[in-house]
Amino acid sequence: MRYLQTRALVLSSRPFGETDRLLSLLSWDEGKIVAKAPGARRVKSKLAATVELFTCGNFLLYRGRTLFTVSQAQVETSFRGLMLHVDDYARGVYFAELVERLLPEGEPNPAVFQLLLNAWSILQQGKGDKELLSRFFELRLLMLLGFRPHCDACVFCGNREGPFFWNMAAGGIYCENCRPAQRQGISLSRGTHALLKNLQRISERELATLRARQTQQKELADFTACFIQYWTDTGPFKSLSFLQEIRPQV
Amino acid sequence: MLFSPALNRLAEAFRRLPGIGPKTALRLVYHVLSMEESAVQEMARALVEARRRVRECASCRNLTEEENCPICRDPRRDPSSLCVVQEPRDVPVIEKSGAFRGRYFVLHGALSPVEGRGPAELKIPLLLQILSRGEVKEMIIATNPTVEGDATAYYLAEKARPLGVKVMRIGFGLPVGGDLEYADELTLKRALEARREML
Repeated sequence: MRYLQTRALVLSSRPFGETDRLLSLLSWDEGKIVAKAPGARRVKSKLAATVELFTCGNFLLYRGRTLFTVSQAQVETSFRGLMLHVDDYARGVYFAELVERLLPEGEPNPAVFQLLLNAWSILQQGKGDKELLSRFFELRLLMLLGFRPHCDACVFCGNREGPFFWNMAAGGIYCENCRPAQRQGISLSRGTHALLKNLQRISERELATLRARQTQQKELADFTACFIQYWTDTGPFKSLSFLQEIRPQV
Repeated sequence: MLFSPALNRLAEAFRRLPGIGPKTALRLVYHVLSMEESAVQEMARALVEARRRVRECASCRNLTEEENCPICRDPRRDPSSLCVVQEPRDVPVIEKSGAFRGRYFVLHGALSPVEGRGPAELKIPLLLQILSRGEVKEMIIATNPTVEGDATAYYLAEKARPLGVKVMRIGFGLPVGGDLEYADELTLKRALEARREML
């Protein structure tokens, strides 16, 4: 089949050549794919609006030797409301960047598709705590890709009583008794541990009612950022640095 | 594969330009070889001179050879109206329309989290400094109608509003000569939102 009709999310849309755009799409049927949108930067292009970031649409793609070419596209939902606030915009881009960099190419994963779609939607609606939404997204994505941090009990002895510590090589948390001889590892407060377990368990709908202290949020953000970098072998995320840069000005 | 290190170096140099692949680079190499030596020297001189002499205007960040660009120096331009554009190449495009007689500010990009391009890289603090002097009454944001361009526009509007500047966004809608039937939903939606009374 040279043509592929698919529902897809636009993860990134970059200028390509004179007037084209190069898209990274998360297709429901094909997973992450790269497609060229010819002429999409021309003023009169029919594709221009449909191949923008934060778009969920129906795409007709022609399968080429190295990449797909967009033949037709129709917007199903556009999350352009995320652009109204720079914090939402950066967070929406961060979610897309996480998916783009962690998901292997050409492996369909409808659960990840739904997770990103829901996350953009919640972000646009402005419901709940955005920092917690980010942590929820990170943890759920890790779980769907097989990198779930082990946080229910000590990874070494199964002890369920705190206090707990973490370092990345352990792949989760460990108790005082199993703490390595050099006494390495970062302490995880009781509240943050509870928050971490909660975020791994609850649904997107329950997320709106969840609250956490600033210190817990900071502790958890450090944990997930280190975990993602260590276990997925990705470098730093520029969109996350951008979020930190704009934070004091928001 | 070229059997001359000098030609290989030249092909590599061409490949650094945007949109030039290995085949186009080779084509350019052969074209340069067929040119008169004086023309090649002129081209090389032009490249070096442009790179050496052109810099950013101290007021608007447009490209110029002087401290201030001709538009910023022109006393006939309206200093109360400032048009913010994404790239230096956008200035001549707006100038060609003949519809704007104010001054410009060039961002040299748009806010891009994925490329790590934040407000500091775009010299937004410099723009806010210009706005806070009180001379500018109206700021027209003419960044591209893309996600990045729009996010930059909303960010600028949020920052400029407390300074008492009237913030405007260039209009969006159907291109002149276009057919309504072939317009996409988002463009049509924006065109309807930005409708105006006739006469």
